Amino acid sequence: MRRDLQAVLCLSLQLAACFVWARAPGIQVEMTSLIHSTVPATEGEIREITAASGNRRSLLVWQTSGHYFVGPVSRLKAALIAEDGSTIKELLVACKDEIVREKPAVAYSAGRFLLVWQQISENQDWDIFSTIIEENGHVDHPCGSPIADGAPNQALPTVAAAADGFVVLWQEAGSGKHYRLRAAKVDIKGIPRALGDLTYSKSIEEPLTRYGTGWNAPSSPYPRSTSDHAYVMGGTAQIVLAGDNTHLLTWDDEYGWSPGASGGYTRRFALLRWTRHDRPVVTNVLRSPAYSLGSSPGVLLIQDDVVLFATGSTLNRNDNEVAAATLLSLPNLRFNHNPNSETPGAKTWQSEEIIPLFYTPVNVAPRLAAYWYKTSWTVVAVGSRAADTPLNRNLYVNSLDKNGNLAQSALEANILVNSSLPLGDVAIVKSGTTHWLVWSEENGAGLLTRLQIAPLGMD
Amino acid sequence: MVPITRLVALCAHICGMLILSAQALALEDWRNERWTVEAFTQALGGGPETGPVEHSGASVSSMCADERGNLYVADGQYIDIVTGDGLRYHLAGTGRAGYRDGSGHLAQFRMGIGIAYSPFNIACTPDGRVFIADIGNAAVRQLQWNESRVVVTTVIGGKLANRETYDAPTLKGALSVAYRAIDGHLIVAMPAGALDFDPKTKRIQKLGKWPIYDPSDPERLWRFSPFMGDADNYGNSYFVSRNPDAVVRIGADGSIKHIAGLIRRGGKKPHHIGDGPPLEAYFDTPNSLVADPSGQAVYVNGGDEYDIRRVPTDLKSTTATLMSDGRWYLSPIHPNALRGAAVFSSMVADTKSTDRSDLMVTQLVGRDWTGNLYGRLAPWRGATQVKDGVPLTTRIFRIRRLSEDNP
Repeated sequence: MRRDLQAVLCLSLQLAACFVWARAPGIQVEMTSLIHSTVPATEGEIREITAASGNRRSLLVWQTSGHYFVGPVSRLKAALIAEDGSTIKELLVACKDEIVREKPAVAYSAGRFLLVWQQISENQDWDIFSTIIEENGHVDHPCGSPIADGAPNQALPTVAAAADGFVVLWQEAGSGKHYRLRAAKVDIKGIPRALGDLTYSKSIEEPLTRYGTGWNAPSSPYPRSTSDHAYVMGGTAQIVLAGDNTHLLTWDDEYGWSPGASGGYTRRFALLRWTRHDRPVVTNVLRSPAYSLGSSPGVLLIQDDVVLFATGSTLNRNDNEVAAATLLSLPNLRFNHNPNSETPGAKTWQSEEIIPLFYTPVNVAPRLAAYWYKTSWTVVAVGSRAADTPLNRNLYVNSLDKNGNLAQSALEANILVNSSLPLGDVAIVKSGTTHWLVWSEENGAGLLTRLQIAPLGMD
Repeated sequence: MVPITRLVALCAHICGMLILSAQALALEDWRNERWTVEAFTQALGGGPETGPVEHSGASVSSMCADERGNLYVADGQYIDIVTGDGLRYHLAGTGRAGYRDGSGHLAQFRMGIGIAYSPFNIACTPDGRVFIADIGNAAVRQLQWNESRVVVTTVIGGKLANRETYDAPTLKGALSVAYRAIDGHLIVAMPAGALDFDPKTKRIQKLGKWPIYDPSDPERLWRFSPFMGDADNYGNSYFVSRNPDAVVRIGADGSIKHIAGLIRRGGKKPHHIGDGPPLEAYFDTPNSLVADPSGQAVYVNGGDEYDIRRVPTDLKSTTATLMSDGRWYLSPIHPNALRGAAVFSSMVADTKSTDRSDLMVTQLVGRDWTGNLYGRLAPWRGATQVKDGVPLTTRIFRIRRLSEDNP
């Protein structure tokens, strides 16, 4: 019965379909189908789409609603996507309705998915929880296993595969002063094995003077002492496996924070390693130029030792934000003896520092997805087709090779999907040999409640 | 025949006023006031939008309070509540700009969209209703509690303006609101003039145009750009205009009076003018205003007005400037002129200098029920706002008035 309903929905959607076409080399978007359509009054809108690609299946996760004082409880939902793009199973990751769950992130390792999220229970503060989800859709711990549930506020988790399981990264309100990044190793069964603050290795610790000016109060909230400053501050972090016992991190650092002033953030990249005693250490910290890479989460991928990071960017301080990318050489970052340079050195950056991907009449929202296809990354971003279209109705596509060459100029980036309805978020997953584009879309009544899927290309 | 409930409410109101009057008398000499600064929200380093308010990464564009100790906060197309125990939740909005009435979690706004400098504000009633100056939708919206639900409706303009039976003036341009608790009316300010809206009867009354006169032709009314409004507990509403730089009071009887701000047209900014009689004092493109509940003063800030200026409402005494020790002083010249150029850029500032990190206030975002101020920080050089006390861990802060009961 459920399958029949899905088939009917798929057919009806194709008939009423958004206009979809493909011009970018290697991209095919021929048909769309509906993954999910909620009843808005009871569940709210679809938010925070995230996905991980498994062996032959992929897992798509999203959040409904948010942390409202009065309103539906924010829940996590998931769908297992088969090789043909169909939904094998839809999951509700929950055990008690009243617990608010937000900001899901998922990774795949050795036949299992690890789903992490932040949750708030008993109206205290946010904590980090997780569960293993098997490839058959079994949720090991619907109530969640705590990764970090101590007194400080812990939030905004992200996760990456590791050689022996997973690494989870999150923000924690540290010492009542500011947020810092913390990390935990999680084994393949979903059990945390090691946990720690991310601290800079002393050998390449950045000079204190790089950390802004503080202010004239007797005890500045800004880090002055060596021990305090050694913590990795800031948020919107992302992590990806970068070799044995090594992950690449990127985060939005508060390096030059001055109260209320713009320019207090900078995008940083660094390597995360674990010592023999399973303590996490951050090394080889690299800072991008100010006003270059935005504070929003982006896409972090590694292919053949070249790192792609795509996000919103202001390019320079007078520009509006556009979608842009930067490419790093991973070997050069590993062996960079001067990782604290104010401006990136040519040996570390793979190509020119910041590459605009899309120029559109309206700012491209920093909602991006990307995957490696044959010889280049294909990057998709949500945008608008005209300055007088306030809501995002297009998915733009462009390709970027490892040397920083674009398939189309940023001014001529193709429109992959032109919808009659405003779009929300976007993700790309790989099931079997096929990459699938997933995006959220309004339902015609102004509510972001539909999830669409369309094939992108085959390996 | 006056209903007994009305009499009870009136008595309660009068008692409340008496208590507030006693408090006002105790604080009559503002020169003895002492203010301190405390962390509030938008934590350093990021953080989630909701949860413990001091650890929330979200900001505040405008705020107001109810009498139960809740704060209502507008930011990022959300209306949030900060409860008395310090937790921040969404009340209404999806985080995306749009226009939809209905249940709070599905409602959409276009707050601060479509007008330069994004002027807008919200106003609270004592029982926790919130009026929103939704400039992007040319509407005034109302958030109210319906048993266990939050519902957003349009009360002026917006989609109502398309109805044949709707005969209220068109809302156009900058929009600000202030709630007059004494009779439950909402005062709406827009460039064309002020409106008095009775939420119970839905009746809208034009109060008139702004009494700001063209300096080159004192007989001719000039423009007014309301950026923010607030009301005291005695039925007076106040609005601040940026260019011309003025503060206007709308009395409980609906009369409109220009009470502060030197009106000038072009030319060099008169930074040689310091604190003094309110109508002779110069305010440098202010964009925020908070009223003291006692009715004795309003606080003006924002734009290039980097200090909190106390403006007495009696039209007689002097304006004053809050300084780094949390006390009021009379600045001999405009406070901006005490520290050099009025435009600050962290990118071009001398990063070796240490004094540039002194705290300044770039915008007041509102107040709580007892009259403590909330604002945004910026660095500056030279004479400063409060900077002593407990170091802040947030970008949005509370300036709390110290008292014997609450030192």
